[in-house]
Amino acid sequence: MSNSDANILNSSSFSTTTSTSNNDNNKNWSLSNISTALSNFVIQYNYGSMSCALLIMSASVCTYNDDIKLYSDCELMGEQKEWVEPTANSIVYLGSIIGQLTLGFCGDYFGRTIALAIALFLTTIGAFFSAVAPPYNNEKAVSIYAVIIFFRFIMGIGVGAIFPLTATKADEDAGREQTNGNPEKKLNLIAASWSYFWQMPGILAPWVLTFLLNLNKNSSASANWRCLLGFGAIPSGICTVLLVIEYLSSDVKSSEKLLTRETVSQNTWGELKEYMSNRSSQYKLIGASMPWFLFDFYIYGLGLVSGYILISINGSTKDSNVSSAANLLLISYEEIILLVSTIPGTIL
Amino acid sequence: MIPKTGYKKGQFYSFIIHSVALAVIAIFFHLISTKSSKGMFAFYTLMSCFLQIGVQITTFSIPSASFPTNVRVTLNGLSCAIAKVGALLGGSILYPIYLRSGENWTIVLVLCSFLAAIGAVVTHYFVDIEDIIIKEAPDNNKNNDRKESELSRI
Repeated sequence: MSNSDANILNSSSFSTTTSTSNNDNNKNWSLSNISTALSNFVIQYNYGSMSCALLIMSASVCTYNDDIKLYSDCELMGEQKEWVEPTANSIVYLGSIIGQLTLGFCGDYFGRTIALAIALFLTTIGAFFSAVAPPYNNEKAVSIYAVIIFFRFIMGIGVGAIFPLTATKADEDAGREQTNGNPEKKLNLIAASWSYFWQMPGILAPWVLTFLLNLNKNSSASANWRCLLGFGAIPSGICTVLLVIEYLSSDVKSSEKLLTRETVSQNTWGELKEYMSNRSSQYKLIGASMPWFLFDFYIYGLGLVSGYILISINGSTKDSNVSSAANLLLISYEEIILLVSTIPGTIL
Repeated sequence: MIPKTGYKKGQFYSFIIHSVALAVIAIFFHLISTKSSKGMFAFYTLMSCFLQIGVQITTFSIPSASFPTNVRVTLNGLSCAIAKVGALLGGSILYPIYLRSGENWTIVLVLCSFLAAIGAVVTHYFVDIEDIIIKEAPDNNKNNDRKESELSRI
């Protein structure tokens, strides 16, 4: 470890000793455990729900029929103009990048719990308002997509920030719990892995919900896609409340003094610049980010094109109307099978 | 696998598994898909299972262990943001590559296999969390049956 590293670490060491009972410690760790696990579910549900919603939406909100203006006259069901799908999907990632950069910094400045609560609140707002996007009838489809895309961007800011905040919070809180609240700086990486595991149900959930919604032939396409997008607000809302409860407990407040500017030097930005001026720190950043960059490049890339690969494998499984109930059932069924099959890999 | 190998080695081996799995899909994709669509679906599903091994979890966890407490989330967030740029690039580049290569998935899969191999190399040379101690020891202060695992000293 370099001198620079050591200085940074010394400056962030605890200056006080907390004395908390084991019961309080357990209670807070359990809350933290639940909130970080549920937050990871929220990440993947909200990333995936838009793709499912777009499949359903094309039956009722078709941009090719703007001139006709009536939902019932969507003659080209399943057809969308080229900008709809890539914009709706990529805007979430754009928001995520902004959220990771800004709320990540807030996590170091204000503390993990507060920053995570803000991230989840933004996610709740974004998911809820994209589900209730006006107009509700006889209006241009473009305006619906514009409203949804705006709120997906807001949601993306929150969802993106959940990644670094839950990973760090899970590690630190579990490490603290293992030392009975004794503020030794230990991390428990298994805790982050455990909370990460809950991303898997989050990936599955939108497809399962799509499948179930399409089994009910009486529900309209509009109700289905609104339900699909809006469902993402429920777990994130619950998580926000859990984090507020957790923060209001005295134990968390005291243990997170480490992370506030009350007990360490006042200049987060200065500490960051000092740390990153060291060559070994730069290598660490490359080691932390580049494997993730490469992995996300091919796994998200293949994920987005997996539908096309499945079509290549099965021939044309779709009829001319992508949004027909039969097609949606088939597509969601295949995706569920594909995703369930990946669970053993995740457990391994 | 990860608790036994540790996070760095686990990520290294997982990238190699991914690289091999993607290469195998690439080799057999055209061969099997032209003969049996159901067989290819089963094969693709099995290979997708291999792609979930390790790296998803290690890339999520390693940034936390790489940086000191007072800049940890900022740099973890920066790592995430760089990763999401990768996700955006992958999502926007792979399909056009498929179209330009004459609708040939093999080329796309070979490219992904190559990237996974680079991931293994970068992990080997740049991931710096050697101080993670993997041990299975009872926590005498609290629960004797609780496994104290994956503690890293920072």
